[in-house]
Amino acid sequence: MNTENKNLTIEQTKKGYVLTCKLTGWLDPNTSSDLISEINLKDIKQVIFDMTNIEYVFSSGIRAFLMLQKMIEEKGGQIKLINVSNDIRSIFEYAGLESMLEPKV
Amino acid sequence: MMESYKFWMSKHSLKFKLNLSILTFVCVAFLSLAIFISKYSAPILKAQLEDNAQKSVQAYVADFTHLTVHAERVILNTKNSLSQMKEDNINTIRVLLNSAMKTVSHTDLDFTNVWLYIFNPEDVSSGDLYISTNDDKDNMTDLKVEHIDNLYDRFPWFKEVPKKEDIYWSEPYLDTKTDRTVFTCLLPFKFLNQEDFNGLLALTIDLTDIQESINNFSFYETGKLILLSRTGLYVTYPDKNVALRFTIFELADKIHEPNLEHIGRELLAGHSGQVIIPNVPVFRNKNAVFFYAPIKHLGWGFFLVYAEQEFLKPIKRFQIIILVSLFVSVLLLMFLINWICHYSTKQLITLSDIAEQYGSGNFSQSFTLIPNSSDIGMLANALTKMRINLLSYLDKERKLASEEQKSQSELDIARHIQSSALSTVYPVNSAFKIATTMIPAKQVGGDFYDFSFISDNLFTIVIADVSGKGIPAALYMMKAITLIKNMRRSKLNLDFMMQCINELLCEGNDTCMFVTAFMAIIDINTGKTIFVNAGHNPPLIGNQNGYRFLSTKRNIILGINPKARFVQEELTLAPGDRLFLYTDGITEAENKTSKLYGEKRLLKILQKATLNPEHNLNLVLKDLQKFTKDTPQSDDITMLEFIYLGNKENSKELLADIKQLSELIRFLKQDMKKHYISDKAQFDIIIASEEIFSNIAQYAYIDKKDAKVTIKTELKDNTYYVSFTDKGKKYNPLKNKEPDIKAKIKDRPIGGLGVFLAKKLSDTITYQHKDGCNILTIGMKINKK
Repeated sequence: MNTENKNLTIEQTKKGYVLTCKLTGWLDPNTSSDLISEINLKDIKQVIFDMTNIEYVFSSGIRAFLMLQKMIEEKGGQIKLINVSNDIRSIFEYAGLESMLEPKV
Repeated sequence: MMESYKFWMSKHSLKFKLNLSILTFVCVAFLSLAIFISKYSAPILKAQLEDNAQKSVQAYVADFTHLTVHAERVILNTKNSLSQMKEDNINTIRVLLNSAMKTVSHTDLDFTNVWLYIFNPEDVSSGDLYISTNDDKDNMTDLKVEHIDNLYDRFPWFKEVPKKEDIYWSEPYLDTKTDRTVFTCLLPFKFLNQEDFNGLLALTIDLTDIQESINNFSFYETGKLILLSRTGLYVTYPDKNVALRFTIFELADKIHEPNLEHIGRELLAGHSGQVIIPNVPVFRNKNAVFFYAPIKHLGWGFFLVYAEQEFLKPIKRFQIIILVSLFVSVLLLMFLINWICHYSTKQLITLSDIAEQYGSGNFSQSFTLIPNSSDIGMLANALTKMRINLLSYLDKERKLASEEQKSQSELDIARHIQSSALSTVYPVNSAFKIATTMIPAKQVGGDFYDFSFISDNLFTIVIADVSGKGIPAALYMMKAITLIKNMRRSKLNLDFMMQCINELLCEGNDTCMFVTAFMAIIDINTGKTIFVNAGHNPPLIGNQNGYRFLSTKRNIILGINPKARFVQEELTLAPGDRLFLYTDGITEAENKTSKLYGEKRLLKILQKATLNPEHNLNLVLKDLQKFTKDTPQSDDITMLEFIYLGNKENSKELLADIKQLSELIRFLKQDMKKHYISDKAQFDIIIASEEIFSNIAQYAYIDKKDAKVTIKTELKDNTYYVSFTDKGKKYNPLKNKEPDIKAKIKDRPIGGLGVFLAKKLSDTITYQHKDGCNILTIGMKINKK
């Protein structure tokens, strides 16, 4: 039985001021710090996270997004989460952070 | 043989069969008639032919005899007259000859002349010849007188004439003056008182016409008549080169035919008769029949010859006529048969079209085209009757169908009401599993089951069978089920509860309906089970080793005796034990041969049972259907299985380390799957649990060496509980200040979200500190998946 946590992989694509990150895995206490350490915000005004392949977002994940948002806000930028499943969306709603998500279709 | 004939008969059309049989019959009849007639008419025809031949020959003989006898008479008369005369007075001779000439002129005979020859007594070859000719029959015959010096020059045969008092007939000879065939009758004469003959009296007969008449005579197709003279000379013969030149003997010799010679001799000897000569070339080498008859006073003879096969010719003609008429009849019959068949089958085809339309439900077409007396008319009549009957039958059916439809829809409503009375919400509980099946025999049934929690830990199960079937049973069933549903929450003892139910069921039960029932109350924490069997089939009790009948006291059935008392019994279910309740609709189900399904088959199939009650009920149902096959179900089929699992909690001990997160999630997922928890609820439970676990892992222990968390899950009252027990420092996370989620992001603290989310996602969350342990429990209400 695999007792290791599920890894988080981040696929980054930079296009001008916009950085798109395609995330796969879980955003739990073990992996959320990777999000902060691996993303370089230099010359970036907007970070878009593609959440298609994210199974769970725990509070540690939300914290990571919150920190990233704070960091980019200082430069006048923002982060955006796209392709968020309904289950994960409700987590963000409970945390009062719907503004990070693209509007519900 | 017979089979193949029948097959052959059925293979061909009526037309063909009629043609074949009638035409065969006609042909056989005609041909047998032809053969019969040919066979029996042949001898008759042959005899008739011979008779005709004989008669023809004799007729010619008679004619010729008559002719020559007449000539002889004339000569004799004249000679008598001459013998009365003294001298050869020319006048007297003239009168005499003229008279004789006159006599013969009045007959049909072709006399050429009469003459008188008075010869010299010393030399008969010289003398005077007096000739009377019949050149002009109406006038006096001219008499020519000439002196002849040598008579033999003129008549070479004259030498043969004997000088005696007898008539002599010459052979036929050609008269060179007239170029006609003649023959002469001669008689010597004397004048009165003379001693020696004075001369000859002669009459010449022309044979040419007779020859022609004989040559022209034909007998049937091949027959010919031939005249022979005294010497056997052919006086007539079909070939003119033979006549007067050859005798029959010369010819017989030439063709080496002794029979022909025999005929010649017989004739000249004055005999008549019949001879058959085989292989005659003239008759294509077939047999020839000769009929011969003599002309006696001349020594001449006639014979008639014809092909023996001549008599077959009429038969052949008859056969040709028969064949032609057969051919014509067959043609006519064929035409008739085909016409009749065409007419009849045309009607049959019309009828068959109509019958087909009737068959497909179209009755619009009626018909009156065929008279009722004919065979096809009878069929048409039957079809007409069938149409009328079918129409009235269909009409009745339609009325019945609409009535049935109405009562059917009412029954559907009744069934709906009835089925809504049955328990449908299956409790989700880790302590037991339950499944039911009910298939009513008619739309509404008399069986029912019921189950429900009557307290936190007490669960009742009921199975019952109302007497009778259909609507009355269903109505009584509704009363019974309502009573049971009302009474089960009363907290009364089961025996007394049953007594009350019985009393109420007895009230106003004039029709004596009754109910058999088995009811049990199970403590799901301990497995202790109290039950009452009111006249019902004893249920089965089983475990992984098999099932057996539960021995119960059979109390009286419900609804009959209002004062009845009931005895309750008790047993304890161990985890894995099952109670299988059923009605007699299963054990008494019949197959085609009226065999009952029976208890043995039920016990046998339950050997394959598992811990899944739904699977077990399906197993029984399929086995039952296999047994009964197409036999209609006669009674309601109702089953209920309760499987006791034991009220064990599910628990797992994990290191209090966030690295164990995926292990926690795996454990929870596996556990929730057992209880059919929905995906959404699973997601929420996993998020909430992770927050609690992370909290403990990160903050509870200072010394991480023995840091452990015990996770327990429990499904109770439709709520799924997960509790986290740790031995870390005492801490109630629920007292934490909740984060301000409405604050602007830049003003918000990073932490404090986890417990908040756990609170938000779970339906209940409780904290306890007990025996030095922090116990945090989250509960999530769930619905059965």
